[in-house]
Amino acid sequence: MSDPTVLVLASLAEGDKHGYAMMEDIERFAAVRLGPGTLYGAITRMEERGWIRPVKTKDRRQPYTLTAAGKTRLAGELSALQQVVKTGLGRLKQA
Amino acid sequence: MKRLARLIARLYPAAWRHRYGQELEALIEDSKPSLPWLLDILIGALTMQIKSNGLRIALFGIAGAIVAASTLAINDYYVCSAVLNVRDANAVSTAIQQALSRRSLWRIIEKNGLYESDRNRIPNEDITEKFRHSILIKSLQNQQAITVSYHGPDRVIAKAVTEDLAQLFLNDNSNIIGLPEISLPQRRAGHKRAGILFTGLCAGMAAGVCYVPIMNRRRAT
Repeated sequence: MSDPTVLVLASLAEGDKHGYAMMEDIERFAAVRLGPGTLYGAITRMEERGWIRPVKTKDRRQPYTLTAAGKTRLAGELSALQQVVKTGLGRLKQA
Repeated sequence: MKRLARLIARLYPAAWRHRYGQELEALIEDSKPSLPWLLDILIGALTMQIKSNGLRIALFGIAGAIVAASTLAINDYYVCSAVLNVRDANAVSTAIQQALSRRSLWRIIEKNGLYESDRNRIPNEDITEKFRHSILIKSLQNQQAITVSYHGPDRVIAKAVTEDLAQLFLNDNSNIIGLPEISLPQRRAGHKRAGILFTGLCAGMAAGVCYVPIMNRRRAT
């Protein structure tokens, strides 16, 4: 599981975070170290699509929050993933 | 390394930097840099450049490929080879020396009208030397055979010159026997065309990635 979009959405599902906090969180729960270019590529895409939005702050570290569209997207991605995991594990038992 | 990262981050499009530049710099400050990490920022910057200025960068790429293609057209040449069997391996080096003597080579240059435009400008010795560089002689199969190759821009002349070169070996040495037929070279040789075009395309796109932001900045001021 290394799709940066899903990883960022899953990280923000816990609460608002800025870039570095997302990187640390993703490394903790998915063992994936996203580079700054990859992370900000995903952030740019997701903001354009309205899945995340910036939270007002005076700090240079800009936090982001998940929007309703982002939550729907994450739920869809995770449910598809769950289906893959279920099917894969079932087939592995039979093999 | 953080300084280098900040420099690479400047490759992002100006509009993108206006929106996310400060955040990215803060992230660079907080993180531990490494080589893959720098590469990740570079790839991110190039991706954003292509996304924002894709058409113009593609045009630069096409221009680069066209320049590379024109270089191919200028430098294309045909290679023609003759295989000669050797009776006595010890006689090969002497045969090569005799065949490639200045006098023998000059006869071939005159007979085939080679380097006509150069003959009034360049000394004969230099023209002979130039001709020598177009000839390749290789030993094959434990010196049981040699190949004599010549490359030039015209395939008919390339064949005629190769025949004459082979004849030099046959005339001067009874230890070398020729194979009867030398075929006309069908394909141009010497260049990896796809590789050169791809390099031209990449170089053009790289130039585009560097130049398009400068063009944009000039337009904005």
